[in-house]
Amino acid sequence: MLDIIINDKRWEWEAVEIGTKGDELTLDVTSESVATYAKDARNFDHAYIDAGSGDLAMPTGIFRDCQLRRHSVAQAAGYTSLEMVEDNPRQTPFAKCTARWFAPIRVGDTLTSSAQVLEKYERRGSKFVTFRVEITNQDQERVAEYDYTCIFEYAKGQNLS
Amino acid sequence: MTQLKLNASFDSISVGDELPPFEIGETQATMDQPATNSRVPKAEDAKPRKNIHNDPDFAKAGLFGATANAGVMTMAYVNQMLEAVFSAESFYNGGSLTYKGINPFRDGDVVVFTGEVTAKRVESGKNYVDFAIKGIDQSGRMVGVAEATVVPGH
Repeated sequence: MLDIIINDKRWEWEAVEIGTKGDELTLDVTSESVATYAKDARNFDHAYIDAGSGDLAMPTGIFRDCQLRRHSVAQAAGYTSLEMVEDNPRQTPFAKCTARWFAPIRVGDTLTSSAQVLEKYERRGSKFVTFRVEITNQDQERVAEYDYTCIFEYAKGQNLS
Repeated sequence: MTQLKLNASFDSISVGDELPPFEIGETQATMDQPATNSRVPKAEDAKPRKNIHNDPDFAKAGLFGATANAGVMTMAYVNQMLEAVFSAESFYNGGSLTYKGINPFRDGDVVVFTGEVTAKRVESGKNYVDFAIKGIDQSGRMVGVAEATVVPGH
């Protein structure tokens, strides 16, 4: 695990390089983690709230157990993510996301994930970065992945309030 | 138009069939909860960590002008909507879910998601059902659109 270093090198869109990869995060899928996530999603299906060993996790639970840690990708490149810089921090909001599942995720699994920069592009004056998060289980089986696109910089004058 | 029911069989599904509508609201409390239960290691939660989901002052200066929920939490709601008909296995068999945010889903908003079957197909012996889904808030504003593919086993 990398130590988080807050420096003054802002990971602006121009500094983002395709292929930059963050470190790995490994977490166990537990009855408690499945239930907590389901409750936060206000899904009170007993299959999740009372999940036991071997029971399926809620599919979108990958977003919590294998969270996109964009700061880890920024750190790998020697930068600090825009959310974490001391001066004038800025969010890089969600634009879109595609998740794909390849194999079941169950209570008792251990998931390892890492994020890398898949692409960056400009559209109508806004600047976007897409990260891919790849997820494997304890058997090194690829169980899921997702492509998460953030708005690094939005077109001047744009306001959705 | 037919509204799909729990465990609908692949053969019984037709293009145009609808998912049961799914309604959900957000409050600041519900938007705060995911951060409280984050599984990111604590050492990485070092300050400063401004957040448009739970810091109203910070969010006020941003694109949305107010706090908004996380897009991936909206995906959890769409997941839940689909699970009213299809089991979790239908995702894990090779399913997918895409969500595109169009407008923020904010404190006080109530969004109704509706969706219908756009295609069904068999590939390499697997049954695939494709959906188009949209979320509309209480003012008639579209908050986002989704495309989902599930792979029912029967």
